[in-house]
Amino acid sequence: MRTLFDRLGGRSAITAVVDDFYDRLTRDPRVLHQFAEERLPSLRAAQVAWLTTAFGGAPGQPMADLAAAHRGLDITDDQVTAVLGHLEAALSDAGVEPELQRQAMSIVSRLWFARVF
Amino acid sequence: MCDKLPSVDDLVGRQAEFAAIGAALRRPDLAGALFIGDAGVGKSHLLHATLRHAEEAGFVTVSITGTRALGDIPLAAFAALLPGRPAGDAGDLVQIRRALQERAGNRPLLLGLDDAHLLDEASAALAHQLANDLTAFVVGTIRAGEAPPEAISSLMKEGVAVRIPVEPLDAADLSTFAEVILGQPVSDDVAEQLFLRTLGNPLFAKELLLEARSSGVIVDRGGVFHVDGDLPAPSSLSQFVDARLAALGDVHQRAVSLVAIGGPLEIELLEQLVDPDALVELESARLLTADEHDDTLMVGFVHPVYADAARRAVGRLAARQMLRELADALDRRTPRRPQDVLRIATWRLDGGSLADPSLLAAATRIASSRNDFDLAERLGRAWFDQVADTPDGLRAACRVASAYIEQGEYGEAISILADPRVRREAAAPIDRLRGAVIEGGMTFWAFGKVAPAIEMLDAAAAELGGAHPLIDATKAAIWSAAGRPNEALALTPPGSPAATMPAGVASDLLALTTAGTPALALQRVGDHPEFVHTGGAIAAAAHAFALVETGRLRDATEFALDGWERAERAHDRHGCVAWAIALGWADLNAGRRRAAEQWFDRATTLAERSAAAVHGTRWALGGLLLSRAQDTDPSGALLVLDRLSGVPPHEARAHADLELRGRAWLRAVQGDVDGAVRELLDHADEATDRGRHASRVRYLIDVVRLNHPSEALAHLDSVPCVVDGELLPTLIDAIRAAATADAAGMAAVTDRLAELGFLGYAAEAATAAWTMVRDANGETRTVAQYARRAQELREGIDVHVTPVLAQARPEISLSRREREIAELVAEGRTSREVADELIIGVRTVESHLARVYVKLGVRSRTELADALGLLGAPT
Repeated sequence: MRTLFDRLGGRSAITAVVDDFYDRLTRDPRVLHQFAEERLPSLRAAQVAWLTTAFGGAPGQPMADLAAAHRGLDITDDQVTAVLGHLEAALSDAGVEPELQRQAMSIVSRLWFARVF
Repeated sequence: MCDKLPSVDDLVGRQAEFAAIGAALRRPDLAGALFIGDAGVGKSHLLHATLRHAEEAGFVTVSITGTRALGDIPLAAFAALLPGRPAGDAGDLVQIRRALQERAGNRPLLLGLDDAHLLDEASAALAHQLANDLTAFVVGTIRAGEAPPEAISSLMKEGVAVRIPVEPLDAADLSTFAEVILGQPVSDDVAEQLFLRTLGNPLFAKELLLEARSSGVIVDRGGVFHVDGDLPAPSSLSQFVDARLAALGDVHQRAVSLVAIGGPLEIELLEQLVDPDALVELESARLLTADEHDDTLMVGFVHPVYADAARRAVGRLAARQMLRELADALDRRTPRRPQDVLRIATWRLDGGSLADPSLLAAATRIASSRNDFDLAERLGRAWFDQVADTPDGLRAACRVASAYIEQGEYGEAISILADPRVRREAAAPIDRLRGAVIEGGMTFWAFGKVAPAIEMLDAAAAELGGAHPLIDATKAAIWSAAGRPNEALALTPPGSPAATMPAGVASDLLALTTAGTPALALQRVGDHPEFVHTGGAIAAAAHAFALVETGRLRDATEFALDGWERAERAHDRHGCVAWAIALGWADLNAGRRRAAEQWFDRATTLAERSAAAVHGTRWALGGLLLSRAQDTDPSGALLVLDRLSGVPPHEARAHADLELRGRAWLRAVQGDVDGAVRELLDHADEATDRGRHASRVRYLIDVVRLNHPSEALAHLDSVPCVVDGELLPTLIDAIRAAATADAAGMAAVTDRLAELGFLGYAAEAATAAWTMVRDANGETRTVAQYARRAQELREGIDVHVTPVLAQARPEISLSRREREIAELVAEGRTSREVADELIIGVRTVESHLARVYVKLGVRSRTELADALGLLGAPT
């Protein structure tokens, strides 16, 4: 069975989605203070790698430990909703069909909410 | 939002299992986990702790439970998620999936499957699908030694779900567990005896402790429980449970038996049959428990070991009696949900009482709509037996016949339709129509006979006073599958009612494609977007074929792969066959022989046990035959012929074209090229007569490939050939270019085919173009360029030795010195460096190099490196 990564269009598609995703995050006053300007390039790269693994484009578990990576950030429920919304919008604007979008979001939200399980 | 969740403190000795479930949830490649262990070991406990914990973490959770009593009723476990409608339809599965997705919103969904080994097949299949399409992460429990439904075990086999074994507790944990149960610690004596008796099974331990406390065998002395004598010594948990149930009074036993036979049961239903006080007492005795599902209180056992024990204790006659009582009680309730209809009907059947025909009719329809054809057949049979000689007889027979057909049991389908009790003339016109469509369709699809099928349908139409859109659409579908597009298209003129029925759209799609106008076919389907989902497997595969024939090879592969995955998830065997054949065909066209053969092979295996047994098998074997024969593998092709001889004949056409081309190619590779060409030309003429121009072009291009282009052209020009799309016109150009030795035209054909992805055809066209310029004594540089193009394309395919390619292999030979110099230059040296290294003059190097450029048809050093790569190792 082809991976979600392949069906989403592979590395170039993921990179484009992540670029758009971060553009949205850094324009949203609800979350923008969580993203330090100088760290953005490395965050984008890490996000591409993370999503690639999450969608089965690379073996194993996404290497970043989500719980550790977000420790001390004091993230609110509203912020989680906002961030997931931006990712969904980025996928949608990239022309990803609704069913694939749903599957992609389902993986991402599961990995997020299971981070401290 | 907190960074840490409270630990699960009521789970003694289960840290490892709990960590395992957390780790599984964080693995993106998993969509489920299954706790496996003995009865009473604590699997459900772990599941419920997981669900609670997940809710705290932000998951949305839904839980369903399998029970032995309802294991035969499709979707019983998911019933609470179905809206209460009067009757089920084909949308039940879709509705549940949508309801779950809505409930989850943007939160992840955790679906609990308690006692997954007891789930009904439909619920299990749905759970499998929900995990695979990532609607939910599934966490289930399975009792060790029990066989779960195939859909559940395949979650583990496919690696979608991980197994988490749940072992008995060790002595220390069991002692802690005893303290949790009693609220106070136990002495070492108690702990030791408890472990010896129960071997660490927590449910067993809990039962023993509570029993021992109430009977005074263990007593509290200064805050610690000590044993006064010996703990009771049943040999097993089930023996202990049997003893507990045997000690109950008659009233209580009756309540327990009813729940074991029919449960879980609605409280109002149960209260009609037993004393409500008894239920309250059984609840406080921790045997029964009530859970709310969809605003209804359902009464079940606290643990399935009690259900098992209670079932064992009920005699068969008593069980029948109770099923009848349950059916009567549920029958009095209104409104009825689909679930209730199914329960009443099956309880009446199993209880040996007569059910109302209208109830059985409704139940049969619901069972079919939930894809439980086994149950539909059983219920429909009971319905039929009551109404066979009434005006409803034919309708019942049609329902049962459809259920048989879905299971590939054609003989049974025929015999119920031919039952002497059925009075067709008394049946409603719509039922007579249905009967004719089922019989006609079966005569063609299952038994491969066109004429009798059409006759049957015509007779039915005449009897009903003329044409009917359903009859026309069915006939059209048969004609188009039988390779008669003109007849098919005449029955479904654009805008006619027949043209808008699923069978009519499918027929148009196939007919227009084989007629040589696949682009028009796709346009026609474009007007019915819903068709892709409702037209069935054959129709969807026809869509993939239209995409191939129009030249959209990559789209076809993409579309068919998606279809294959959907069919695989839905356990739709028939669909898998159609998609695998479509994928094989696409790969064959792309020049990927090995992949094509794998798909055809897979289709053959799957077809053997499906409703598409004969034509599916012949079709897949036809593809295999063609692939092997074209690739000069006569022994492989003969093996396929041998397999084909064991499959009954079938008058469907799609496979016949593959098979006939394969037979002709085999003849050619066995040395009789002229005979092969004659065969192909005959088939081309037959295709022309029938209006199948797509097949005609394919036959004629084969004639060209066997080096008889002028015959091909003559047969092409005999009757006008109107084709659309990208592929077929290009193939016609190839025939013309070959017949007129038009090298430039053939080169243009090569580029077009390569661009579309038809690399096998492209490689042959390039080789043909090269042969033409070579034979025309073209300029050496031009010949070399053509040779290089041919060489390049041959690298991209894994069909190496079709006869065309075998007899004309571009030979590009460099002298030893030329090669030596070329390789050094390709590595990046300058002419001066090469001259110095070989101790020759720069001018000599350059004159060698000039000859190399001409021979290889290259113009730059970069091109030189590529060309050398293609040339391979020096000979």
